[in-house]
Amino acid sequence: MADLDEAASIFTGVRPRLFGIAYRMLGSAAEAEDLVQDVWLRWQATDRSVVHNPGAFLATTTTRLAINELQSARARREVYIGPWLPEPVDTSADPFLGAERGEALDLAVLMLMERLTPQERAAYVLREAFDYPYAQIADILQSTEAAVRQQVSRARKHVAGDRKIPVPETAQRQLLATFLEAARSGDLEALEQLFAADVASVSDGNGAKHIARKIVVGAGRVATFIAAFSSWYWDGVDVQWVTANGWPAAVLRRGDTLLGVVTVDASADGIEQVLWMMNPAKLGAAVAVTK
Amino acid sequence: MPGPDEVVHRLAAACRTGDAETIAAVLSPDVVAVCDSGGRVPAPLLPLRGAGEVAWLLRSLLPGNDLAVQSVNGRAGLVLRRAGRALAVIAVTCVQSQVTAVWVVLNPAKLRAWHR
Repeated sequence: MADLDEAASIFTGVRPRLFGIAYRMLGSAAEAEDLVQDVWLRWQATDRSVVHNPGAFLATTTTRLAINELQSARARREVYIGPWLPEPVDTSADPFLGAERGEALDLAVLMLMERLTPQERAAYVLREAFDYPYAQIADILQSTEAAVRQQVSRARKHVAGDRKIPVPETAQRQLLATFLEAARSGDLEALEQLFAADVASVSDGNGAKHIARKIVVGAGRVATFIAAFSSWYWDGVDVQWVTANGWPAAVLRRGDTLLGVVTVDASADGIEQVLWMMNPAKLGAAVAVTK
Repeated sequence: MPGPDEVVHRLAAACRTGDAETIAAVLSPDVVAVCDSGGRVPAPLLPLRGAGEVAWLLRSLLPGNDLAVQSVNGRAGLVLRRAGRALAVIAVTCVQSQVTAVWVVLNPAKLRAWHR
């Protein structure tokens, strides 16, 4: 029993940090609570006599569980109705989360981190928010120090990208037109040239047939993805130009059937995001907006 | 140069006047608003863009609600409550003295910790 008391005392000591890691990875306080609870159960069941550094062990368990959880969280977000934002946390009520370790907590930063791979996100969180040495992050992620340095550097660039200045509306519309032309013809090279290096293609299809369920990231992969359906998708498709909620958008129809609404979000580096609203349940609202 | 938290206080003061033009004056002309409703409460499904549109959105959220400035994810943000029940938590991104993005969380499932 004394052993379990000691286990509980160690766990309680690092709990705020574990929650901080899990929340920054998942963007959900509720899911982070569940995950930390899971870590506690595992910690109870662990042969603790062989654990030399309990803090490192618990951070490793939390990070690995969060990486796994992030995969399924992303799948759930694809069927989420409307834009997904992280669950906001009251940082005045949780001084540890807010004041002491404020890095990688800002809602806008969490949104930017959504576009990193789970490994990159973990590396960035452990480094920027908790100041872990690179060697230790490499241990936690079962990776090499060099790879971790690269992941953190890429993530930093991405987060700094927040300050990217969006291009004016007329240029957005021009980009969208050029993009649609290249998508229709399946011109891989032309597509790639339009994209920023870490462009993301986000489809909201609510699981409908022929709609991608995963967010596709990277100029090469997005170009390949879009070119892949050029041969059949665009046959007989009419494009109507509209301004939806202040963004240039294209409404796609085939005959009387409404297929979806496409918008792009661009910076000086090119198209940063391609947003495909293909969810039949939401198209009613989207089309109402275009009127 | 005012800090970001000061800009949020200015935004809150503008919201309290309830006047769209006063609100728009604190916003960048290119401001973007993203609403997360989870499909549970009415909200725009696409991002809103431009000071006019975003001022209209903020104004539409205000009537009958109490507005507080609170620490949201480490920065000053806005919380709207009615009879102690949180209806919206709004995180704000600022560049220099203007608001460039507002992130509006309306999904009741994400607001439980914000009730008073």
